[in-house]
Amino acid sequence: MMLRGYRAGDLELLSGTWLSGELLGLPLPNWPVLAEPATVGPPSDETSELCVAPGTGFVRYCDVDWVHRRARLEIGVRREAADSAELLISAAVAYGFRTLSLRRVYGWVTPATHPPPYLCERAGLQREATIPSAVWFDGRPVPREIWAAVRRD
Amino acid sequence: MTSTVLRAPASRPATGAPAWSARACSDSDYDDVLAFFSEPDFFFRTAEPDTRSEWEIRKLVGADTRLLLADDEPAGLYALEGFGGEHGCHYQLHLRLRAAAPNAWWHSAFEEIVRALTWKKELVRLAVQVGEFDGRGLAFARSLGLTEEGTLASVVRHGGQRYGYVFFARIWALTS
Repeated sequence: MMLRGYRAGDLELLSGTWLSGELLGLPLPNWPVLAEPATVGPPSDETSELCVAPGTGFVRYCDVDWVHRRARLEIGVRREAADSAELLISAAVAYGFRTLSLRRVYGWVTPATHPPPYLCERAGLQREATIPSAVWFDGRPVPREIWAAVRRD
Repeated sequence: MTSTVLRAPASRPATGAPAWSARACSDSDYDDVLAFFSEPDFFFRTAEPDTRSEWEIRKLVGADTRLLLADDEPAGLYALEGFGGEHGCHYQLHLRLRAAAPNAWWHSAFEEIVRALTWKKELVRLAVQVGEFDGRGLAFARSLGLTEEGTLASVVRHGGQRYGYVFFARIWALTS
């Protein structure tokens, strides 16, 4: 899957019904009709790196630490492109390692959103830790997991 | 993306309630908004809606207000005001539906607003203030089973008399 740089015309790819900040933000089926969609801002400085996959979603590396070469990955997948999630996360990890030359790619996974665990595993990510009551979701605090891939070379 | 219309999920609410959606009020929505305020009991942040002029209505509606749509048709307004600190878990709800909306719509709109609010953050207290002169508002709050906390007497003038505001609330247990 090809990632390309963000253009103003890609704005609609930056919002959707996923949990904000999620490593792999998949559209959630029970999103309240009056709740605002999750939204990330267009890229505007060097603290984050945002690419889009046209028609599919966005990939954002935020909190980029260029010294230690690590960054937190966020992905948002549009509802109509949910089947492309696996391709998008693989492309995102590859982009982090190859193009950005990161050593460590990590992000939040929230089990309460019922993400298919194999998607992260197939992209080379592993669960590192569970943080209790890490985020408010659907009326209650829920745990969140840190998943990461580390380049060993 | 505040102008995005969020469609209802495939599973529609039961009991004939409409599919709700909401968006920020744009200039093209103001014909509908002005029509709401021409109803003499559209008490949205005012006790005298039908005599307000357009500039004042635009001020009352403000940036925090959402246009509620029932089955994609404009049906009312709501706004949430936060109280306390940055996240005091305490909000006041301003909700008004047009006069033709049945009481059941008020209930389902209220519950959808609560569901949207508690989706992303904790809610402990949701307060609603209703003027003593507002029969529709009182019927809604009482039929919904909100706790009636008391009346702050003689705070607002309506139709040549002074009235109080009746305070209603729903309170949730703290999670920690």
